[in-house]
Amino acid sequence: MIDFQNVTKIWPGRPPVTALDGVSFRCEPGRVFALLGPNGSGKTTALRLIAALLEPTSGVVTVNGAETTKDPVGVKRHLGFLTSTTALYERLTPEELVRYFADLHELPREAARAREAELFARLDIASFARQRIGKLSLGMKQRVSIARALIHDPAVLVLDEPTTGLDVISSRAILDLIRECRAAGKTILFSTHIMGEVSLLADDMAILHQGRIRWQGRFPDFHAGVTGRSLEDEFIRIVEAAA
Amino acid sequence: MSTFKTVFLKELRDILRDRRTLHMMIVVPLVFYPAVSFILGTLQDREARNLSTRVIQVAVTPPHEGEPLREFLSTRASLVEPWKAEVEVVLSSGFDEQTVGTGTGYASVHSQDEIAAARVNGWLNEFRQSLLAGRQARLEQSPSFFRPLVIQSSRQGSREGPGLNIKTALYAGMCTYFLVFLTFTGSMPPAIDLGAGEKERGTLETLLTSPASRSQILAGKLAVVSLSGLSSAVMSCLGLIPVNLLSHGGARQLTREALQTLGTLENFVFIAALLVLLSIFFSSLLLSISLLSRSPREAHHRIMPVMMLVTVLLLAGILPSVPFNTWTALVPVLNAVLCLRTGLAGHAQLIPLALTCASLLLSSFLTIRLAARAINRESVFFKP
Repeated sequence: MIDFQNVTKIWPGRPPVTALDGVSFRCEPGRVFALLGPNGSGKTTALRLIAALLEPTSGVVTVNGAETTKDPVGVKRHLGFLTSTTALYERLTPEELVRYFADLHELPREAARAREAELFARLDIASFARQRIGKLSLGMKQRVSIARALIHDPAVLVLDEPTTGLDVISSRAILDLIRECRAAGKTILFSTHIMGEVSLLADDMAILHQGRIRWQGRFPDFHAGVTGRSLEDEFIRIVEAAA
Repeated sequence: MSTFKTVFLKELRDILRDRRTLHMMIVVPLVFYPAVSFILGTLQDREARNLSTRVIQVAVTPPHEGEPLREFLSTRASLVEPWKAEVEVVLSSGFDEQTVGTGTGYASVHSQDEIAAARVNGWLNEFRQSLLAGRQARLEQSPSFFRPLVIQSSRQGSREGPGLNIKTALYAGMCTYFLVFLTFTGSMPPAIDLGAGEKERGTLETLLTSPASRSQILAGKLAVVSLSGLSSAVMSCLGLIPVNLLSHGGARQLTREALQTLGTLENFVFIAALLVLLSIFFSSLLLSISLLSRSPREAHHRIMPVMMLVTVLLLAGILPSVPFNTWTALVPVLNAVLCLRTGLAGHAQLIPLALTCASLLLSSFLTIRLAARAINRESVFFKP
């Protein structure tokens, strides 16, 4: 579970920039939470706070009972984090990369190899597992990135715009995997600005704009309240009303 | 410890697959120092051959003076007209009368060729000695009567201590220059790649989402950057071996002297200890700069002034006029250069050596703290 309680993040400077302003939401196990917002709305900052990469100026972020500021290592052990870019070591092979992260998570060798084989089969990585990552296509890299994020079988999965730049087939594979993780009882939070993905996956959602939550609730409630022609229109209407 | 090992092995594997790092870590040191030794040795040979076989064109003026001198010089040089000469010897009026009698004759040497002028000066000295011997014989005095004092000096060109051989000082200076410079340049590419490079590629953010602590990640990176700097220094020494085996003459002598200087157990331990300290200092300094930069390009720009400063300290350190004392032993890099130079020349001094180690340890501690502050910043993984 992810608990984001009244979190504010201010970047010091002249003038200081408020990235998040009193934001609260909760992601439950076995459900997919979509965090929507235009570019610069504070989505990535929120996800980095959850991953204990940043510290909140005020408020508390808890992941599976571990507070990010007090037990960042505990948070990272429960968390699989997928950044918005594939961000992989291009001179390593997928096999080397996934084993590296398994070692960083201090997984027993046997368990790590079994999990690796399972993920490589599920994500169809085995055929290029020993090629340098730098030579792979974007879709292949994204699959490797997912395998890297899931190698320690985390209870919480945080995905920052996971389908950006991918073709339809690769995007579909990732969406299917998210559904499987939900069925396995994992907590899933993903950020996006694509309403189509939200309608396919989300159980709960929040719209973030200029560092504040503008709408939050169950997706069916959002769908039921659409007054325009489409979900995109409703999203734009909410964002523009807040501006 | 296991996380440190995991990060270290991965970073090592990563940089060993990077062409730029391999180039600076292995290829350049293997080629650079041996090539310089080979070229210097060959030039030395050519110069020596040139000096021994070259016939210098000398003119003695005015034409009516200096017949004995002409006769003396004709066995050593080619006597020609003034307009053809490389060296012109102008004699004072009444030169023959003065030199044969008890007076003083004057000869001035004019040339644009310093080597030729030096050789003619040497012959004129020989001629003076022969004149002196003639006068001594006439006075029936022993040669020692005219030599009440003989001054001998064995200190040539450096302050390292009595009895220092100039060749040893030269090889020590050359070895020091290459060892320190290559330790620095060998650390540069991995420091940039593992700091600013990772930031630019976004992999640092990915790595920081793992349970490895930032200090473990930093320790792994520092160890790899230090190892790379040390490898460069070692490679440069290894590169001397084939040059020594395959070359001849001056190049062979130069590389043999360098290998003999480096090859003794005492020198090896001394150099290894000092280079380890120096490489830790360089790697933590370079990694700090890299982590504080937004991109490899910016890191490169920031490292350039540091490289210039290191070069200046390096050149200052190999100048014979710069002493190795309590004050210079406190300046990082300069102290290491002076320490290596004097140590390799066989004149290590205990107090400056202890101060050098203390100064390098303190500097390394401070630069590691700086690197730790750099990696602990929230914005460390932000892309440019």
